[in-house]
Amino acid sequence: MLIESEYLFGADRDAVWDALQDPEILGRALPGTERLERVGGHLYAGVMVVGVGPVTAARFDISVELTNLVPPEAFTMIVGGQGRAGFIDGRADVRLEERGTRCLMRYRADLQVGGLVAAVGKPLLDTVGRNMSHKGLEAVDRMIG
Amino acid sequence: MKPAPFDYVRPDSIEGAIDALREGGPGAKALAGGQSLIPALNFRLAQPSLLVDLAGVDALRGIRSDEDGGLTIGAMTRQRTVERSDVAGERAPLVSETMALVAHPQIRNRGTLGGSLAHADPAAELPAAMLALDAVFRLHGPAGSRRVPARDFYIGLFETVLAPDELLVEIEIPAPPPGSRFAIEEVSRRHGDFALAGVAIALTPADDGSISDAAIGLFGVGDRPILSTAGNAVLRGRSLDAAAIAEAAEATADALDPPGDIHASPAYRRHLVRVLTRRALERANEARETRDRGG
Amino acid sequence: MSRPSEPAERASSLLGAAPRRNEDERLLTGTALFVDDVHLDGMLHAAFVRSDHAHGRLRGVDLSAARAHPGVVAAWVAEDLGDYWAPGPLLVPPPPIERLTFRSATQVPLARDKVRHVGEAIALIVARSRYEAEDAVALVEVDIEPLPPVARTEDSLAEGAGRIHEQFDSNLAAHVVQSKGDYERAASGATVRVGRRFRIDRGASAPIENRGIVASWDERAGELTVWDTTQAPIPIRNGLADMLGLPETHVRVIAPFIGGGFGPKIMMFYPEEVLLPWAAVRLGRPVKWIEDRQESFFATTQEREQIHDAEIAVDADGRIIGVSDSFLCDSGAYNPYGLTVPINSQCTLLGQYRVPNYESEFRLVYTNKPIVTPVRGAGRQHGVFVMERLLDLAAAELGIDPTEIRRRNFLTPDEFPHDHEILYQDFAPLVYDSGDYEPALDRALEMIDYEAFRATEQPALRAAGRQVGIGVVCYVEGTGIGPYEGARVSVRSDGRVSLVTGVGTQGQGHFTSFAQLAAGPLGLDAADVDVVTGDTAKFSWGTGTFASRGAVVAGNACHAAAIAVREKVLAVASDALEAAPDDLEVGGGAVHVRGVPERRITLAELAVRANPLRGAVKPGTEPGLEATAYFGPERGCTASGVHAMIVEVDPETAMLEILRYVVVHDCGTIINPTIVNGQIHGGVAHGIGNAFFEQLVFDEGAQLLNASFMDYLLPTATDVPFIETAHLCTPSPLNPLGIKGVGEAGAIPVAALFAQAIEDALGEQAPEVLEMPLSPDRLFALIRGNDAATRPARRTVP
Repeated sequence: MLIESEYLFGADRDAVWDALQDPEILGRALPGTERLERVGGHLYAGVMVVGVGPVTAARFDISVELTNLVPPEAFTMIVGGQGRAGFIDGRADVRLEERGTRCLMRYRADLQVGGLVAAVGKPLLDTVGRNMSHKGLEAVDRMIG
Repeated sequence: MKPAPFDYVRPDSIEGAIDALREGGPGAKALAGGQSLIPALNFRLAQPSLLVDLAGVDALRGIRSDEDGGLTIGAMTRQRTVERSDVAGERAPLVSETMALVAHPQIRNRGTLGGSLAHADPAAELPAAMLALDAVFRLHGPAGSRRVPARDFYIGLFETVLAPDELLVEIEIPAPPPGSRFAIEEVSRRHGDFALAGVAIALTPADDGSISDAAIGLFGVGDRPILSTAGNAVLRGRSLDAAAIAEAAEATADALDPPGDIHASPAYRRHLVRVLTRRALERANEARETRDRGG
Repeated sequence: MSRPSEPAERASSLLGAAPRRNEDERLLTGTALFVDDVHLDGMLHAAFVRSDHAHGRLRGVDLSAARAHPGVVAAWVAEDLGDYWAPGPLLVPPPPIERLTFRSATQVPLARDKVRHVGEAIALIVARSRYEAEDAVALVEVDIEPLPPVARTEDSLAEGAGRIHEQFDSNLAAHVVQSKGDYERAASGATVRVGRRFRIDRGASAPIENRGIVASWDERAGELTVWDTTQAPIPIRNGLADMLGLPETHVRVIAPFIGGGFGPKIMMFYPEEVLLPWAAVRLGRPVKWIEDRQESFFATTQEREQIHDAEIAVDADGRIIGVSDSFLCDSGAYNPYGLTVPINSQCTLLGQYRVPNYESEFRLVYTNKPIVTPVRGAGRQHGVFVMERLLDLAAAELGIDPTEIRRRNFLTPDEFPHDHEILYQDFAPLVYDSGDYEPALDRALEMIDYEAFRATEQPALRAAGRQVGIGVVCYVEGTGIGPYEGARVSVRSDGRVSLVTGVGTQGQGHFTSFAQLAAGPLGLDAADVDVVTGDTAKFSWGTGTFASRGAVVAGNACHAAAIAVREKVLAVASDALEAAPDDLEVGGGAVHVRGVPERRITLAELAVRANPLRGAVKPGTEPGLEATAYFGPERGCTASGVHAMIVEVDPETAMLEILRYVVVHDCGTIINPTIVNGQIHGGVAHGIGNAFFEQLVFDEGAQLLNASFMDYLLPTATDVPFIETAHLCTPSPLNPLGIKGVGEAGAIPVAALFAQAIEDALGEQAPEVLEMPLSPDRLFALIRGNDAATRPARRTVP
C-alpha cells in the first residue's frame, strides 16, 4: 500500500525536526503505538495495537529506525512489526519544507502487511492507513504546539 | 478459527449490562446479534476478556408508536422483527425497505437494529438510512441517558460517540412531514453483500411542491456513513425535474473522495454514487406521481 | 419368441433412469458420516503454525511457550520429524515430449530452512482441544528473514527475481513445446491473422467441507486407520504404508462422505496427510485435524493465472489454417502435479475444431503463492477461453457470425477417431474417440432462439435502451482417463446386492449411479444395491475420483462385475431349477424359467446355495455369488458441448443479469439424467464464479487479500440462473457402456461465454474482453476504456 500525502504543521521546521527525535512524540506519529523507547542511536522499539471496529487484538512488537538523516530537511523511517495477527513492514521517505514560519511535511510511505491482517483485514487497513497517518501528525502538531 | 478464551455474562437489565461493562474494563465488549463480533472473535482479531450478552435484556426490545407520529425501536430488536413490523412499515417505510437489503434473512433473524447501528460499518445500509431520516439515538451509561442525533453519532471508521461503558438503547425515528418520499438504492457484488456504494434518500416537500429538504445518506463511500450536503444544496427550493436530479447527482458524487479496495476503485464508487443518487431521486419522484395519480 | 437380450442390453435397462438417490436419506437427515463426525476415545486435536511471509529464510521457531501451555500434548517442527521429513511425491511425471525442460520441486511436510508461500506449515501443535491448540499456536515465536517474494506470474522469470528453489538457476518449472504442421509457413498465406494477449485467472475450489483427517493407531494390532477427505484413498493408503514402514494390509484409509472435492482433495500428499498419521503413531492416541476456512485459502491447492499470447490464422472463408500460442502458467510455490494443468490447456484449446497447424509453447513457473493443482476443469478453461476468443476475433475481422465460424471448423463425424498429433495429460496421443458437433450447436441455437434474438429481440431491446447480448461457445473435454478402477459385486443371502469400489465420492451420486449399473444385469432396482466407496479395507485396488473419470472407469468396472455375477447366478440357478442358463430369466429379485414364472428361485436362496455349509466347492468354481472386475480404458474419451447465454449489462453500474442459460451436452451414454444435470448445474455455477465473482487477489508481497468468504465471493442462488439443458449422445467406443465423463464439463466454457455475450451486449462501444474473471469494477474500467493495460495490442509474430 502506497500512501502519499502532506501535512502542514503549526510549528516551524526546526521545532518539528527536534520533536520527531523524541521517541514519545515520534510514537504519536504512529497511531496505535502504546509504547516506544529508544534502544540506541536512531533505533526505537515498542508496541503498537491496531484497533479499528471489529479488529481490537492486532498487537505488534515494533521497531522503528530513522535513517538517511538530513537535518532538518529529510529522513527515512523504517518500521517493522510482528504479532500474532501478522506483520507490518513500512518505509516512509519524509521531507520537511519551510512554509513561512510553518513546516510542510511531505511523505511517501510504502506499507506491506502480511498474515491474518492482510488476509481478512486489508480493506480495513487501507482505510485506516489513510486516516491514521493524518491523525498521528495532528497529535504531534498538538504536542509541539 | 476458534476464539481465544473469554468470560461471558448475560444480564437481564440495562443497568446490569452497564455495570458488567464497567466492571469488565477495557476488555469488556457488548454482544448484540453477534453477526460481526462473533466472526471477529473466531478470527481472533478481537479478543475481549468479557462478553456482555444483551439478549437477556427485555427492556432493549420492542417497537413503539410515539404519539407525535414517530417510532421508537429498542436497540436489541431483531432486524427481521423490524422488517416484518406493520407499524414500522407504516411509520418508517425507508427502514422497512432498507431491511430487505441488509444481508440475508438468516442474518436478519439474529442481527439487531442497534447492533448494526453501533457497529458503524461504513458500508452498512442502516446507519445511512438513519442519517437520511434524522433519527435520534438514546444512549445509556453510568451517568444516565443522553440523546444523540444519528447525524452526530458517527465520527470515524467503525467509530461512534459511544463510550465503552455506554449502550445504544433506543432509536427514535421522527414522524416524516406530510408528503415525504423515500428511496434507497445500492450496488453490491451479490444480493445481501455490503454495498460497494449506496444512497438512502428522504425528500421533504414544501407546500408549493418544491423540495424543502433532501436528506441524502451515503454508504460504502467513506470512512463512515455520510450525510451529503451537496445534493441538498442543489435541490432545496427546486422542483424535482430531470435537470435538478442530474445536477444533484453530479454534486453529490463530486463532493466525495471515496476509498478504493479490491472490489471497487474510487472512480467506480464515485460514479456509482452519481448513478444511484439519480435513480433514488427518480424513484422517489415516481412514488409521488403514483400516489398523486392514485389520489 | 425373441431370444433374451444380450447382457449389455440388459445392463442398460437402468441406463437413463433417474431413481431416487440412495444417498439422499442419509445426507438429508444428517446421518451421513463426514470426517468431522468421527469422535474417538482420547482423541487429540491438531493445529498448525503457518507462515505469514510469502518468501523467507526460516531462522528459528521457539515452541517453548506453546509446549508449556495447558492442554498441549506435543509440538513439533521439521527437525523433529527426523528421517520422516521428505518432500512429497511428484504425482505426475512429465509425458515423453521432446525438447522438454522439467524441474521438480514438491511440497514439504513442515517448512525447513525456507518458507515459500503464505500459509505454509511450520509447526504442528497437538492439544486436548482445537481451542487449546490454537491458543498455543498464538504463543509460537517464528523468526523469518524476509526474502523478496515473487508475486506476479510475469515477474517470475525476470532478471533478479527472487529464487524460490535455490537448486535451480531460475523459477522456471517447465518449458514445453508441442506442435503439429508448420504454423509459420501455413499462416503466411492466411487472409486474417489476429492475435491478442489473454489473461485467465481462476480461484479456490471452495468446497462446502474443508479438508480433514483423523488418524488412529492400534498398537496391539499394528494397524493404522485414517479418515481422510481425500479423492484418492487407495494411493493415500499405499503412500502412508510406505512412509511409515507398514504393510498395506495394516493401513486402512476411509474417505467417507465428503462435501465436495473439485480436484484439490486429490493432492496426495498434503503436509497434514503426512503428519497426522505420524503423530497418531508417535502419541499412541487418535489425532484429528479439521481445516478451517481461513487455512483452506492457503493450505489447500488452487488454480490460478495463465497469460497467453495467441494468434489464429484463417482463410477467407474463416477456415482455420492454424493457431500459435505461447503462455505462462503459475504453478505456485511447488509443483506436485507436473504438467497436468498446462497440458490440459494446451490440448483443450483445440476444441471441436480442425486445426491443421498448431504451435504451442508454455512455461510453467514457480511463484511465492499457494500451490496450483487441478480444480474442476484443470486448465481446460484457459485453453477454451483463448480459442473461443480467437474465433470471435477472426469472425469479426471477416464479418461472419461467430456461430458460423465455429460451424465451418467443426470436425465432422467421419473424421473420428481424430488424432491431433500432440500428447495429452495421460501420456497418450490426443485422439478424440468420437463426437458429433454440429447437431449440438444447432440444438443450442434452437433452444435459445438465436435467429429470433438477433433478428427481432435484440434490435427491439436496443431501441428501448437496453444492452442485452447473446453468446454461444463450444468446448471439448478429455475425460475418463486410466489407468483403471475396479469393483466387487456380491449377492447377499438377504437377496440384496453389495457393490464395493475403490474410488471415493464427494457428492457425485455414486451411491445411485453405480447402483444402477450393478442392479441392471441382476434384474434389480438401484435401491436394492448397497454401495461402499472409498474404504481401502473393503476394496484394495484403484486410483481415485478425478478427471471426470468416476462414471467412465469405475462405472464400467461396476457393470462388468455385475455381469460376471449374473453368470454365476445363472449357473447356480441352472442347477437348482434344472434348466439351461439360456432358458432362464433374471428379474424381480429371482430367477425363473422363461415362460414358467412359477419355476423360480430367489437371489437370496441362490446366495445361500452358492455358499454351502456342507459339501465342497467344486474345483474350478468359487463360493458365493460374487465377482470382481476391473476396467482400464486405453485412453480418455472426449465429451463436448455448447453453452449459450443471453445477458443484460447495466452499462451504468457494470452489473450483469443472466436472462437465459442453455447447455447442450454430449457425454455419451447417460447413466442417470438427474445426476448429469446436477453435475452440469454445479459446473456452470462454478464457471460463473470463475467468470464474474471468484478471484484470489494477491498483493505485490504475494499476500492473499481476500482469504475469507467476506471478500472471496462465491456465486449464490441469486447469481446462478435457471439452466436449461439438453443431452445428445455420441457413445464412446472406448468403453462397453459408451460413457463419457461430465464432472467438470459445466465449468469449462463459461468464461469464454461471458466474454462473448458481454461484448455483444455492449454493442459497438464494447471493449474487447481479453481477461477473466471480470467484476463490476473491472468491467466498469473496461467500458470506460481508461485502462491502458488492457487495450488490445496486436501481437507481432516474429
